[in-house]
Amino acid sequence: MMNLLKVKIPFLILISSALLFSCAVQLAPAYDVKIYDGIIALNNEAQVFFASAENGLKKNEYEEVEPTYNEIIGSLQSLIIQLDARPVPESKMLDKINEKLKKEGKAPFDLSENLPTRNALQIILERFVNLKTNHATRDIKPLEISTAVQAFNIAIDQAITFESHLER
Amino acid sequence: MSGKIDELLQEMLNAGNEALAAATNIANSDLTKLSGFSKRQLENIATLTATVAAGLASGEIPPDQKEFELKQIKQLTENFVRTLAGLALVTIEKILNAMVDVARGVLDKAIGAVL
Repeated sequence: MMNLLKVKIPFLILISSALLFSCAVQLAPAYDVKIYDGIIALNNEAQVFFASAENGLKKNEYEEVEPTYNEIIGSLQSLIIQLDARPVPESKMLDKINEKLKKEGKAPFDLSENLPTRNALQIILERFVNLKTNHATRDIKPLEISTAVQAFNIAIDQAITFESHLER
Repeated sequence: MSGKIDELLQEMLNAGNEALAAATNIANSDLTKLSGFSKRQLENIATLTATVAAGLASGEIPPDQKEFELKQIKQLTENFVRTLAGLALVTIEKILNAMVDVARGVLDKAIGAVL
């Protein structure tokens, strides 16, 4: 009996340890260099556009600027599709954290729908669509461009900070 | 056998300290990052709000843009909080994994001692 226990205990420990510690805990999505690089490229593209428009935009310049709006809007839509396709880890631990948050009346971490990066890009997309629509019908004043730059910088900071933090 | 158990207990104590040090290092490093991000965001959201208010008052931002601008400020503020929560989640994950690594090391030694 003692001999049997001597053999079984180490095996039990081995199996338990394999079950418990065989994989790393993953609560947030994996870092994706293509998404990160896409966001950096979008930032560069938008900053060049804002620099050229800092004195405001005339309605009669719209046709000249339209391709730039389309490129930026296209890049944003493409990045959002990439983000939607990125797998979100399923975690029992995260489910437990969310249960506790719900009990306390707090918003749960719903990374599949509320990915910080996706929301930030959606805010930027709405800004560029709004700018494009307004520019097609009227002049855009320098302060409107300044407002767009400030809103863009806040949102892109959220996206870059979150995505770079995923590289762990 | 008692010597082995003492040795194992000492290993576990050391591992506990090691896990705590690893967790503290991650927390300190990430806290600096999170605090810098929060400061930037809060300052920039305040500046944006002031710019929008000034633009609407002077007429440089047309009245029909008011709703859009206010909605953007609200969305940006909400997403700042969500981003902060997401960053904290990644930090929790890093701390958990650092602790699991240390626990795995102790377990390997314990298995070695038993075998």
